[in-house]
Amino acid sequence: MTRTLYCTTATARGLARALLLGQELRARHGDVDFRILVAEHPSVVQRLRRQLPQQTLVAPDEIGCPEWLHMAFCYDEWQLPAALQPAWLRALGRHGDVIYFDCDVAVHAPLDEIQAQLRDAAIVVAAHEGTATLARRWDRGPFNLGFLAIAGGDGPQKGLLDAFHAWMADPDPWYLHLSATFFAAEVAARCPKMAVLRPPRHGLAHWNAVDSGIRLDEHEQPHADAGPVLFSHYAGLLATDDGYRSRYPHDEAVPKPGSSFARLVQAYQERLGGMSPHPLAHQPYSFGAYVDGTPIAPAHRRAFLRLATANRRQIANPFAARGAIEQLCARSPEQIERMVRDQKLLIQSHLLGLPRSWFAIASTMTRLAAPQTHLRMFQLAHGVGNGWRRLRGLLSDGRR
Amino acid sequence: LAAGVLGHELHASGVRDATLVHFALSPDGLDETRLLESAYAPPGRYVGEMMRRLRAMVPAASGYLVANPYLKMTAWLVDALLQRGMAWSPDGPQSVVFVDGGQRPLAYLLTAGAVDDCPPVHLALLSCSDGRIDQRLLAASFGAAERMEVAVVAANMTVREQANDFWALSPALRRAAERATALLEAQPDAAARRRLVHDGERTAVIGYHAGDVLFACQALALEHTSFRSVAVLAMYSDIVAYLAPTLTCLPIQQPAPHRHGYLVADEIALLGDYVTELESGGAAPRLWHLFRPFRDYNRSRHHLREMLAFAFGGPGFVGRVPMSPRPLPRQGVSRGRVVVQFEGGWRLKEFPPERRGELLALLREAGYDPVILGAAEPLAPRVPAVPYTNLADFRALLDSAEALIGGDSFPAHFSQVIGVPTIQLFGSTRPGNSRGAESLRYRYLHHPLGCVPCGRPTVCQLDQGDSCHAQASAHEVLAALRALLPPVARAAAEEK
Repeated sequence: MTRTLYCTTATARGLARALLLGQELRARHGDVDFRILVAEHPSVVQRLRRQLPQQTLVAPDEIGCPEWLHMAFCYDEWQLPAALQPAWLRALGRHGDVIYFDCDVAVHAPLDEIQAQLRDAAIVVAAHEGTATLARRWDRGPFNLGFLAIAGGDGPQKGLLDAFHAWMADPDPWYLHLSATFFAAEVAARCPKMAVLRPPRHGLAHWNAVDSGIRLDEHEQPHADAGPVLFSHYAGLLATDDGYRSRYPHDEAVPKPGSSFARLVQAYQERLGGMSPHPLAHQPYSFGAYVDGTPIAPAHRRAFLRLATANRRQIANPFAARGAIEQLCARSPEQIERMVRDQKLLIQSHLLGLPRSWFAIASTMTRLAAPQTHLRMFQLAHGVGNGWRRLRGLLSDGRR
Repeated sequence: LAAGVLGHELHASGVRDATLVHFALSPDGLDETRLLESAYAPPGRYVGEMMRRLRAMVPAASGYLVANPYLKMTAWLVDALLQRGMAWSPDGPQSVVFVDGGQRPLAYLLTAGAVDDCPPVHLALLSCSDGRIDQRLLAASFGAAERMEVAVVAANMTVREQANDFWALSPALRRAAERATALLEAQPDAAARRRLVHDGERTAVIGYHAGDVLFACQALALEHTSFRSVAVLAMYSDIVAYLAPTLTCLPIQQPAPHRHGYLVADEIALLGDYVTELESGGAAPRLWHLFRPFRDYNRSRHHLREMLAFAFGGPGFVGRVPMSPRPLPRQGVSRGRVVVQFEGGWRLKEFPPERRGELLALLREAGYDPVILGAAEPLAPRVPAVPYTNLADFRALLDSAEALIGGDSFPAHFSQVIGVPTIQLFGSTRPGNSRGAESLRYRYLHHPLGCVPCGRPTVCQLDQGDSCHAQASAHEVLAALRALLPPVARAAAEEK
């Protein structure tokens, strides 16, 4: 029988969620092989291993991804776990079937049917669906990459993961937001045998929970019309005083207070609160600063990402190259354009100020030299100014 | 669109769908973006090399834009060029020259097909200083070419000439570009022009001196280029005939510059005159490439052979060992005879005159039989002296000797190449630029001082003296020779 591995990716701050996911998987499937890729510097992962000896924690340098350091600089805390996902799945795929969940997923029922689907399909994905705007749907693609099941071995799925990893390791900075769309296109092109799971039974989330008809049973477990909900996402939900809101602007519906999904979210938050906090939960993101402790600005990450691959390779450790990257930003055309714009505004203000001061000087001199004439001269200048203004108005009307 | 710019200052492009790669001249290490710093390569050669590398790095691009390496440009101007380049369509002209108001070429754009068809050395014919000439050359080479003017008006778009490592561009380069254009335009049709560009007859005009000719022959043997002939001064044609018999040698009947008071200010113009002389002498029309250092070769730590190989169109390598003629069994060797050569073009490169007598005396004392190649030494009047006349006589002298001691000059380079035990003495020049490959038959001696290479010909900057302190002492030379070649007395004893 093929071995099944369960995995997730989390930063140190998200580790509690990953541990909760592990607990839930064990509650449904017994002692499963559950591994966590910690998207932090390997030295931090080493310390975490000592503090959590019963967990299988893996560092970014252990997943066959030589570009991990550059990726850690290019991507921020929210993007890096997703960026490492293909390399992570590819590494685990050598040992058996792999079922991946984002760390903010809750598992409500046994996943036997997904394992069964992996016997026929090379890959099992979950559809997004929901009420997102067209632009947002386009950006995030048809599949939710918070769940992926990949059959082990060297089938087409390996080529898919290779291609997806190549994209994530060396992305086109202008199309980075279309990564999930790229993945969907690659799945369609490379994997003739694939299975698509659909919400609300699979991948219930705030963007597809509205009007999904889910209800909670006596154990507070969610059920849809077609059967029990297997897993649900709580990604991108931020708690507010009057309920929840999405982390993404212009996002779709958020759970209404008192709804079944809101109760699920609340129960998840309570379970999360009940997890024993680990000592590194509140430490800063290890890839969030240069080696000298200076926080890395998003503009620095963008500038580095926009360098050609060959030029990026020349900066072996970008975390130790703050000066070079600051210069890179200062030399960016946008920065220069901003500087030029500021200079233009300054010159403009000087130019606008000059005639007035000249007029003032001329007026004072006239008042002193010819006391009776300055008022007439002022009126003349005023008249010329008004005439010029009218003429300009007429000209612009004519153009319109 | 893929674009390349030469310069050490990285900047992130703000133009969507364009890949901007920064290249740099490298005096030592090489990789995909670090190009060999070759004194012999004109800016156009770097345009060709960047085109070739961009083609390999971004194979999916339909157009390749390279900023003129002769000019140093701001990030803003590079982005402005990229934006203009993005407006170009692959269905449009095969090549575009972007110029400023003064018709100075800012960048060149070629289609993928043109880059594939064009050997990188062909673009070395670009003048890089006149957009009209370059547009004509590209049109003649690839078909329709367009010239687009880019406004360079704002203070942040300034272009500094010669900023990229101080290329001194001779006006003769424009003449060379015009000559190549005229030849291409004279072809009957586009197919003939394409054939001429791709695999036409090219001649490397090397000119002088003997050492350069030797390294050029080695470089041409290392690279598979379209050069099938070289033009050198007639006095050096025997070197070509011996070292590169497959090459056609076009001899030039002119005296050697920088010798006997014949000073030349513009060496590229002189090479241009050689071409005119050869053409008027009946040489068939062909593409002439002029190879003299455009810059101080001491800036680079690469071997002159590799600098030339890059200029001839090679991708650039670090320290290859060239194929040498197999050392023939030598007959008639006079036991203990050592050829000693002191002269070397300029004073600080030569072995110090005050140590020459000492060295010759030490050699005689140790049982060697020194023979001076060149002028007789006043401090050792009993040592015979043989002037250099031609390669055949020099080889005959080498065949009679067991070893050669020489400076950074042709005799020592040649002796090392043909496998005669050689001690080479370096002074104000960097050994890395011209030394031979380490072997049991070759050693070079040099005191590594911080001021080497100083680039000064006659007066030492340390003490205003007329000899270089980096030269080895006479005793060191003798010790090295002993390690290479035991003295006669000891050898005879060992034989017994």
